[in-house]
Amino acid sequence: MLKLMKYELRKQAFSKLIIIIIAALGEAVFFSGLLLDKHDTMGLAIGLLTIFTMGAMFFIAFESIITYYNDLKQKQSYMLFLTPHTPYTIVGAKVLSSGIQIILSGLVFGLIFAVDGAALLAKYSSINEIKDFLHELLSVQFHIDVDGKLLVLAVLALLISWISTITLAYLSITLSTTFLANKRGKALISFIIFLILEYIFSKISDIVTSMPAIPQGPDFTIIISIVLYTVLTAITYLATAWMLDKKVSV
Amino acid sequence: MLLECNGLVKTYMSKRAVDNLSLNIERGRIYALLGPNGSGKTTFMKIAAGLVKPTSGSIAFCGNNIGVESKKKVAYMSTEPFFYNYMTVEDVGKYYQDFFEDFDMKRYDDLLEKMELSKKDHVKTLSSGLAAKLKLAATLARKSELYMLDEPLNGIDIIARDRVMTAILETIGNENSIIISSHLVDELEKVVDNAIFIKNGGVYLAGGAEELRATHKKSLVELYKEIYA
Repeated sequence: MLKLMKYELRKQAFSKLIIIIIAALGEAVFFSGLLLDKHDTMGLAIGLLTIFTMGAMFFIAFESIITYYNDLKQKQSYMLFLTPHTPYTIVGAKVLSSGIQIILSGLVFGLIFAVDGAALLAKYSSINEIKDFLHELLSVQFHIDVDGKLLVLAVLALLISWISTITLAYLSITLSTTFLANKRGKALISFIIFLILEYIFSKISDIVTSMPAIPQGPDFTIIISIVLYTVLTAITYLATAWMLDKKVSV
Repeated sequence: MLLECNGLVKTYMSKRAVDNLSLNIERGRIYALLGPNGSGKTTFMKIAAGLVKPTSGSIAFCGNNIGVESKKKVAYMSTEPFFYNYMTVEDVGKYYQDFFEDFDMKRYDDLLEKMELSKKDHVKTLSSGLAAKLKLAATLARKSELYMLDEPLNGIDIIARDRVMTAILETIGNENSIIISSHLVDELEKVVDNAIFIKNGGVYLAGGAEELRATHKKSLVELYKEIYA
């Protein structure tokens, strides 16, 4: 599986290089603004980095889905499906390498913002007051005590939900190439199935988190979301691999 | 028996690409899989390679279903280019070495030299002829029990064909077999032990090349023309 993962990561390495270069440029602009005390430059850099982070995270997920689509639809699929591995290993390698990319990217961007924030706090002590004010506002008005643990959990939940969206997309693509392969409008049908499954899952998530038996509070809500998204990822992975095992024709 | 198929069927939409195909492949023989475009040759090979699941019927390699174990012992070369665009010729060798225990890097290097390919070349910049040679080099560098080559001479110029055919024939021994599909029947006539004529997804005529020539008093080329004209 490690070899499969190596080639999965290699296939998507170029875009990661571009993302790193752009993020590094953004950081260079931010720190030049910080050193020269140019607030506009810093603001612009942070704003662009925020938009770029969201775009990059979206692109990483999108690229994983497109790579999987190409691996089923194009002749390059032979490279993958001729190897002596079961569909469970092949899809497993894809899910793991996508997960690693999403989590690593999340960590890197998280680190970038942590460093930028620390640098701002170190240079401008007045920002500390704004931070404290926001902290108090959330605590008094919304009863949310934002601490490091909660922040890490929230980011983790976001990343895992993103991974589950990828595996759900894998499932829909696989459906269109296996059980729906001989049906007209299979791409549209599988896309609709994807949307329906996303909707059903969000409803299940809402119901579970609001159940009286479940302890309330932001910590628990996030932990339950993480568990639910992990279960969804596991189910969609198994269903995808099973369909490939039974029906794949590349 | 190396490969056994019984009543194999594969349908796409309403079309039957393979229709009730039954055949056996023995060890130590060279088979010509003959038929025009759309006759079902490629689909049959893809089923045997584990790339396509049959709609019905059975297929077994050394008595076992097609799967992980058969993929370790069957080398399939498709007619279309299928290497990743980012790869160099060297990367292709490393990829095969990573995934196939029977891959021989030294043989790959020898074949590259014979086919006049450079390890530094990028796959996406290769001409169709060189890309065809690369597919062959990667496939033949495996020491497989069964080779299936789909149109191996496509895109290869007339001068290089002899060299390619020699490389293919060098690969065969008593323990392995090779199935070659080609429109260039005259190129295969001289070298094959068996011929399988595929028509409308099924086996129309099959047997030893000598036996077919003697029974029908015709060469394989003439038989091909008679069957498909």
